[in-house]
Amino acid sequence: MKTYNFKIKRFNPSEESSPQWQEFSVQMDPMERLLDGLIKIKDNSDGTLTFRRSCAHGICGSCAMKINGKNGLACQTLIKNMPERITIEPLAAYPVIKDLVVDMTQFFMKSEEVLPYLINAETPPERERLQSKDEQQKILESITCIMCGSCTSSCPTYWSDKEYLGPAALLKAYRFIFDSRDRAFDERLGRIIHAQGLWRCHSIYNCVEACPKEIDITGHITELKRLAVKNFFKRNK
Amino acid sequence: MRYRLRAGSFAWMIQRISGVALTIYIFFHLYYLSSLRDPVKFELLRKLLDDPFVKFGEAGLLLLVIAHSFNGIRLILLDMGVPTRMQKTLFFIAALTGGIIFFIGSWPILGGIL
Ligand code: FES
Repeated sequence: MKTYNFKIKRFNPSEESSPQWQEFSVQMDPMERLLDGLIKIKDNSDGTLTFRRSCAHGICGSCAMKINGKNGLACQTLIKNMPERITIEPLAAYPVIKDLVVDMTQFFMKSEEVLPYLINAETPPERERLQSKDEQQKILESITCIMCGSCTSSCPTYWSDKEYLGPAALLKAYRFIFDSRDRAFDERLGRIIHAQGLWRCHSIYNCVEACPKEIDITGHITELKRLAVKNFFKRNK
Repeated sequence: MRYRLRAGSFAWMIQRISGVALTIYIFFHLYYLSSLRDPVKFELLRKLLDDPFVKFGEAGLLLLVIAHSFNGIRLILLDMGVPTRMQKTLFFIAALTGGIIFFIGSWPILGGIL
């Protein structure tokens, strides 16, 4: 057991005018995760501490927060890899609802904009729509996104322009545009090719650093950019 | 919005700042060029270039141009398909070669006054 100092940014917008920092000392086992520490604080020291968590296994994306200045999942951060002083803040750029819980409505609406579902009017085969190994490989990495919001919240472009689609939505667009089973290629591409979409990405790579699933988001967006340019020339030939 | 500074975001900030600075500079540059038809005015402006402060400014201009163009090349390479894992390496290569070229290039400008 080792003692860790949790410094947490707390804010209740309905009652306070500005956020406040609060510190807690927590006894932690090296095998535990940061999320366990937060749960201990809530159970033993302060029941009003508010945060989201659901699966506790890095798959639902609920527990994304800014940990020591970098976005990540609390349930995937091993305490043995952390320094003794841990600073925890809510994800930046989203409105805070309370403490570490942020309002992600805007974030999900951006994904909605790129039509995040399979569109294919052809009569489905008796069993599943088949894909070759290569076709699957093309989208495999983008499928692992758990929509935790870490990337979009780490993007300086998004901080300055909330209308920007953001890395998560663009990655979602990639996931369907490059899916061999999907048929809405043109519509989806049209929805991301505009000043607040694809071309707003300035290759800053913060999203790649932030992604807890280690997805090369900027690489995927770059591929979309190349596709858009290729498409443009093909059309105007 | 505080966020941990990494090579990628650092490179982007340099690109932004140097880009804006160079855009402002281009107007001064054009103003200077417009004096080419007027010998008196030209001589007046040319004399300015002997001022050590202006010389430092010129070296600074070289730095801006190098930073912006080298990082620009890095971005073009990444856009053309150089994998993301290379982005930091490319940044350091650009910074290193840019630094060397700046050193060589600023010597004739500053050599006289240093
Ligand atoms: S609780 Fe589900 S990802 Fe952390």
